[in-house]
Amino acid sequence: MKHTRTGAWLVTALWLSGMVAPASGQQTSIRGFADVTFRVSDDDAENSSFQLGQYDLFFSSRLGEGWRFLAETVFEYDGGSFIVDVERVQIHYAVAPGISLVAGKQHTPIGYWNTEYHHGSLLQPTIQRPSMYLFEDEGGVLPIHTMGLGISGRGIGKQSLKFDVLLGNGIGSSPVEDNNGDKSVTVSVSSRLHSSARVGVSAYTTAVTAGVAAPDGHEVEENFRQSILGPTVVYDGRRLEMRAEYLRIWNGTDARTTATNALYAYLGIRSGRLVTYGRFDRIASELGDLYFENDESNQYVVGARWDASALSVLKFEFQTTVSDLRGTTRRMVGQVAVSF
Amino acid sequence: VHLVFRMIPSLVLSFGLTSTNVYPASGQMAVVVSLSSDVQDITLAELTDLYLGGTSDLGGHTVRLTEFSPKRYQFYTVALGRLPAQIDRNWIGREFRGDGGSPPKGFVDVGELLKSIAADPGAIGFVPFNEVDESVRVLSVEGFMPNQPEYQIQEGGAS
Repeated sequence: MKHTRTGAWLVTALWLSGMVAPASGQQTSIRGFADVTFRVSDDDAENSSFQLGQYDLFFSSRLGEGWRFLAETVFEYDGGSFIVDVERVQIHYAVAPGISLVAGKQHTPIGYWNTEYHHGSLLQPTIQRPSMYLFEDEGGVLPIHTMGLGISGRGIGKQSLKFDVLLGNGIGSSPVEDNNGDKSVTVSVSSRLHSSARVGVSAYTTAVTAGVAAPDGHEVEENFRQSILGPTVVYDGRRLEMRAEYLRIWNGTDARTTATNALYAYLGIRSGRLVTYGRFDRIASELGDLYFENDESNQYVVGARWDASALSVLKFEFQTTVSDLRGTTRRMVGQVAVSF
Repeated sequence: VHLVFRMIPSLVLSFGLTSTNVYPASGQMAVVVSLSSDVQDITLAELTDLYLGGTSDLGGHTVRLTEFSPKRYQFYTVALGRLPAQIDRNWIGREFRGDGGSPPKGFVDVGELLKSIAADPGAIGFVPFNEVDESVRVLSVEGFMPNQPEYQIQEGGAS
């Protein structure tokens, strides 16, 4: 959600508040993420450019017995000026070991990537998110953020079970008001197969109201229900790292339903600090979809990542995007990302 | 059997003995817990899981991770197959996600580390085998003690 520069003062005040003496029992930490990217494209409409990425401030605070707070705020350039984007504000209360009630704005627990890397470029294995996980303001197809109340579990039992159940405002709503009376429901569960592998499944459903802006900018013409379901497989071995996710997205009314397939597969091979990797993204929607433009888009990424330290990483990629609507675009992209 | 194994490091330390049945003690990294812990053996997969924050339970107690900082590179690369930077980044990610847990607390003094582990049944750490004393229990890893040739956490060795 975009705010004005007034928000910047608010964030600065919050940041400074973390520097004053905390209340008894309170532990507050502040961390930041930033990245700088250079991009060269064969698309005449894209000049070769240096890009300032997301300047991300992250606060976490243990507030006392069972209570925690975390917030993620991104400063980014958009529409001629820097804006402040409040990405996450979450209040956690532990109801049992590993199980918490969570209230606030959070990343919708669909799949793996969205809740694993958030906005920290340093942490994610590639320069950009997979096409299916692009943020809403980048034309992404998924409801990346949800404002609501949920219960989450982490590291439960020998299988390190992880689950989220989230009731929230649906697509087209704001952090302060839902745009209809229905609430979105997200359910996600994953389990470890062994110490390096994890599998999961997640589902989401919400009612979408006519007038909501679709990812390509057009206004939705009629009310419909969106439902999402898909599996996740993650492997993090000593040398091999792999992620594969698939989501099927149904947009439908009583009269008609269309389906969109969204997936990505990532494979990386580590040799010391160097990881060479490849990723394939695909989004394919049907003709006449109520929400998505009819397109079939594939992206191929080949790259290398140099983990200079725990807090800094260099990445370089060749990206090729093939879209029915937009043709083929090839890019060379380099990025340095840090945490501080 | 475990009692005998527990006594071996002390015997080696006390008398400087290396019999034909005892592997040279230099270079092995011992995984140690409190004597009040029930844990006797651990697998490399379980160690990896603990040090990446995948589980918070150690023998029925909430785990408290420690590390002997001068040997963290050797331990993490050999036992976990990961660079210290990967471990550190993993804990940054856990904090960022709100997953909870606390990263390993570093010690540069073996005596302080052993004292810290001895006092907490949930504590676990690693130290050079030849610096272990009788205040803590040395765990077998994958069924082998550090004084056995099959022991996998050895400096310069691949597990």
